[in-house]
Amino acid sequence: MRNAEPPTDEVLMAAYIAGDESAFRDLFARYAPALERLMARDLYRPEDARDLVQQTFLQFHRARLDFVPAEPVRPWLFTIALNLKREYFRRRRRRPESALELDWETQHTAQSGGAARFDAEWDISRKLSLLPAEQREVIQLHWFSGLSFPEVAAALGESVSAVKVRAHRGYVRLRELLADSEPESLEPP
Amino acid sequence: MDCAEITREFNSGRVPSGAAVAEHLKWCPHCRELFANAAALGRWLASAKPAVAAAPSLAVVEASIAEERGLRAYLRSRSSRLRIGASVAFAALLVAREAARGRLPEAELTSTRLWLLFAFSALLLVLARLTLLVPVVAGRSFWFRSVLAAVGWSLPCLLVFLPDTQVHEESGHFALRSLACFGYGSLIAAPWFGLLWAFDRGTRTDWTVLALAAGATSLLANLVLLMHCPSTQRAHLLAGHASIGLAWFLAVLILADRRQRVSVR
Repeated sequence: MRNAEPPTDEVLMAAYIAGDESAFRDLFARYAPALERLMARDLYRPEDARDLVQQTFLQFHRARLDFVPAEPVRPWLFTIALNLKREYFRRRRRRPESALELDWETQHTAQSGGAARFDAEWDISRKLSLLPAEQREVIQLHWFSGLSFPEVAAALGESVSAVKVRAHRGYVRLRELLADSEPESLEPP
Repeated sequence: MDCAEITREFNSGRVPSGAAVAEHLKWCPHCRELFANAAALGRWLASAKPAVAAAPSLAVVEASIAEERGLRAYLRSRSSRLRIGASVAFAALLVAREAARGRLPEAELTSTRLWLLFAFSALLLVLARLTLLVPVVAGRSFWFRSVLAAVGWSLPCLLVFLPDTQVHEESGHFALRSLACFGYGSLIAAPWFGLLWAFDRGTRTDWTVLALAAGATSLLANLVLLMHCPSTQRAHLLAGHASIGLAWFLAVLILADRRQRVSVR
């Protein structure tokens, strides 16, 4: 009996470049939630996060002929997403703030299953925001998007050792921040 | 066991343990940080892994992809190699056409002029490449892009280093000749700006991309004019040639401002 394993990302990508639209849907189903999490962690408005994920896939479509078949799809997709996210923050800093912020709190509390989870997310988001961007990105991609360090390195265009050094520095800083925080955040899950 | 497996273990709610973990921690300093103080950091990072957020709509993405039709959609979905190659080839064609017309007497091809031609061409290549690769370099190089765009606009000011012929023309004649060069350079380079715009993949074209394209266009206009206009009168070179960069800069500012107003609305 043959074991029908799902096709790899690279097989799906090759099919998509060849014009198979269902391959795009499969890739979307695999990565849209992870990208949504990546965006939602730092963005105040869930609709902005969704918009950036949609833009990521639109860019993915436009740039599909740049994809190198020998390379993995996942870091490439995350590179596009990270660039769009950085661009979003750069634009946002230049625009005047509007009263947009805090639907986020109520929506995330409802979506994520309660105040305790929200508190944990908020706490970690706040502490991560104190890290330099290059350390924060590495930790977010590795911990919350499930990328291995070689994949993080490929997504950021850095060497694996540079990425690990950033993770290490980020961890050291987070430990310092944790040491200053309240004891309940250290309780076992 | 590797770093990714350790992270997965934490994320599944368990503190990794065993001989394989101990072996890994011997040589992996950053994973050691996760395990210090009763694995406080590892548990803390795992505790905040968010639940799946509301996924974006595939229908919306497919609708936006379905709108990718027409010539511009076709052009910008070409590979970067092809987009850059076609842009550079188009620019080279314009310069070669001007050179073939032989408007410039051989005596005017001084070493200063040749150096300027070389410098303009080299920077033109860099600007065209960066303009078209913006989705890749975005974010990381905002200031770099801005500086390069400014260099693109201002480099034609180097024309003042061409030896001045000290010809004193009548002001009416001077203005007309400057206007003619300005118009010729701007018109001949404008399609190239259009080509760069058509090749741009940005979902919301950033003003620095437009600025880079404008800087490149100004350089191309000046490159063509170096082959077209034998004048070495500094005032004319500044008013009729280098001013093209300023004009493109103002055009981009107005365009960016209009786009921002539309997007705010």
